[in-house]
Amino acid sequence: MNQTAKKILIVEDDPDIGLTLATILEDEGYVVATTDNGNEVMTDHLADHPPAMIVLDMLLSGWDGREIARRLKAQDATRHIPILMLSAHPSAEQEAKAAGADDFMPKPFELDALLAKIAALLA
Amino acid sequence: MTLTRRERAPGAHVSEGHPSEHVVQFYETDDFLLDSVTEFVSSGLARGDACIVIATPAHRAALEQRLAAGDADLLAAARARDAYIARDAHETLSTFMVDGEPAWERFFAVISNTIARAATGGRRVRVFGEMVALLWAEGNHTAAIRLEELWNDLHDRHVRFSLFCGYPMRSFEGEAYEAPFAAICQQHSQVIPDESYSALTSPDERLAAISMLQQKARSLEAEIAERKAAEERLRISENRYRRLFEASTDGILIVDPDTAVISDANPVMTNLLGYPHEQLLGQPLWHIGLFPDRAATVEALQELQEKQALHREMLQLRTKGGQIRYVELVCNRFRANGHDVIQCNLRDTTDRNAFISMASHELKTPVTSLKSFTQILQRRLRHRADPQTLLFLDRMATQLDKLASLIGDLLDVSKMQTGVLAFRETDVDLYELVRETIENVQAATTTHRLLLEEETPVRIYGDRDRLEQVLINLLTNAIKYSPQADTVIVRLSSDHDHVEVAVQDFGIGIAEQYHERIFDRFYQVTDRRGSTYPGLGIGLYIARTLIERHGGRLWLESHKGAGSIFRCTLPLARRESDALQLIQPSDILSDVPAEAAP
Repeated sequence: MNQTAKKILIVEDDPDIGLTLATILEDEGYVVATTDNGNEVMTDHLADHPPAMIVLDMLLSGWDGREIARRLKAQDATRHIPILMLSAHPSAEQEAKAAGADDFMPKPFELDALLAKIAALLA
Repeated sequence: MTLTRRERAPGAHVSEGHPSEHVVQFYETDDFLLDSVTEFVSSGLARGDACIVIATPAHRAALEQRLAAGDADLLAAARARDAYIARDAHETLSTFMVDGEPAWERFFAVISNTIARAATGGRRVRVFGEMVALLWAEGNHTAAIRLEELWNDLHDRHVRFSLFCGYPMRSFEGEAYEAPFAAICQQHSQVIPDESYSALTSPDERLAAISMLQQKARSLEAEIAERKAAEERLRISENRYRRLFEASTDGILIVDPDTAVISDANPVMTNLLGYPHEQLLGQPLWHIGLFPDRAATVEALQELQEKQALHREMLQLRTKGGQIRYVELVCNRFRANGHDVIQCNLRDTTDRNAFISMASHELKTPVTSLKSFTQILQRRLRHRADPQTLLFLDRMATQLDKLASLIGDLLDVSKMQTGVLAFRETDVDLYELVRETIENVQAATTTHRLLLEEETPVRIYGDRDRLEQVLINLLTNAIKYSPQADTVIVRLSSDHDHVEVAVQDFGIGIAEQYHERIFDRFYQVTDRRGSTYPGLGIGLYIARTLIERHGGRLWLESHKGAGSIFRCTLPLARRESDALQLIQPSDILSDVPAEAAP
């Protein structure tokens, strides 16, 4: 893999989906960090080693992915980080984009389509 | 001598011979009363009787004028011998009324003195009194009847006198006066009908008049009975409507179509909106959080006017407390009590929607991880595993796709059935959409060539994703059910106000008796050998519902063995003003669960 080890933060509260996402992206050569916790996104993960992009689930327990996106896009320090939002609601794309997500992927997804979107956002 | 109505004083019969002791004269016009009273007084005075007149100033003046006109000396002579005593009715009344009732002691003192004075020298006394009529006119019916009784009591213990009472007939208009009228008549020893009868002179005329009055009374009684029955029916029907209104599980608003002002709201409605009933009444429809502003309300009412009905799903409602609820709105305009009203039924679909969203999330999450794990294994084992393992993984992936698609279809059907299917309508270039969809489906098929004929750009107003879903369904069906063929043709054509998309395959075709049934939910066509076309029914049911919600039609033309053409028509983009939708697409959260909304 000739990726220059870009870091991708995965925010997903279903452990299996989090695991598959991490595996797929690591297989592709990305550096992956995962969390199921919105607070961590806003504090730990953004402070020291901000990711090159974020894969963000829309419906997290306790946190609304759209709220996280809105906050990230409202801050100068994080506004530039591309966000790919995932949701099991196929018609949630407009909501995701309204909240500031750069792209949207409905669940379940094809790996190739997911990777293509990520590559496009990192390009 | 023949007397006409005008020439003869109608009350003349009162004075013929000895007048009855207590006479009541009903009258319609003052003229008639005055003629009658004049006759009563003048004939009395002419006989040497004394007359007491207790009347209103106007009636006293008119009476005296008429007496003078009849015999200039009669009144003067009577006054000279104190045989004509005139009193003001109001003043006299006030001397004996206590707390709205005539007091016997006072009445006796005042009236018996006057009568004694008139009766000087053993004269007969005639009294014309209007005090009862005044009490009656004031609405103090009890006092009027009581005063009549006092006159009768006085008569029983006093010198003989004749009393003449006058009541205008208009004081008794109405069924409610039936009993009091009878009571008045009972107080009198002689009752003289008003001029409509009394003015008639020949017995035959009078008999005819009585017969006509009897007929009129009968028909009035019948009419009253019918009216009461109608009122009762109306009352029952109103009660029934009221019960339905109050007990409805829908929120209901009654709105004036011209002003859009709310005139009624049922309890569910007030709960839903969060406003108390009295605060809702009189409010315009755009003040309650249902429509964003006046313009949107007016536009909705215009649509209602044109189509006679208005239906909105997933309408956003902001409650008084600021909460967002999703409602299904159905408005109908109809006529009630002689004017148009609008009835708006609102059904809160927030919870149903939340349930479907939850089900969607819960069902899709395991499918998502299964599918991803399968795909990771496929990628990792592509060059390492044996062919059978790869085949099994491939089958797993295919089955997971079917499961995912089935979940999507079932959720769509649930939304359609619970009224929470939301559209995001925009201007759509249908040609472009058809072209792209064909391209995408073509990319996933190696067995068929998909051809698009008639390349005409055509704009419609609709939900792009949902229209794409229909096209994908029609195209994949065409491929799936024509395994022997290698071509699917799509034709796009339009006329003045519709566009038609036709998807033609060259497969086995479908016998005519199934042409409608294939659009039923969960229906599968079974051929004689019992083999089925799995998954056909639900997709076509969804496709047809989606097209119909767009105002279009979807149907099949096919013959067994001769391929099939699915034809779908959609209305062309409406005029510009219609593109301004009631709710902007961005306002609708669609099927994102309410609890996930910020």
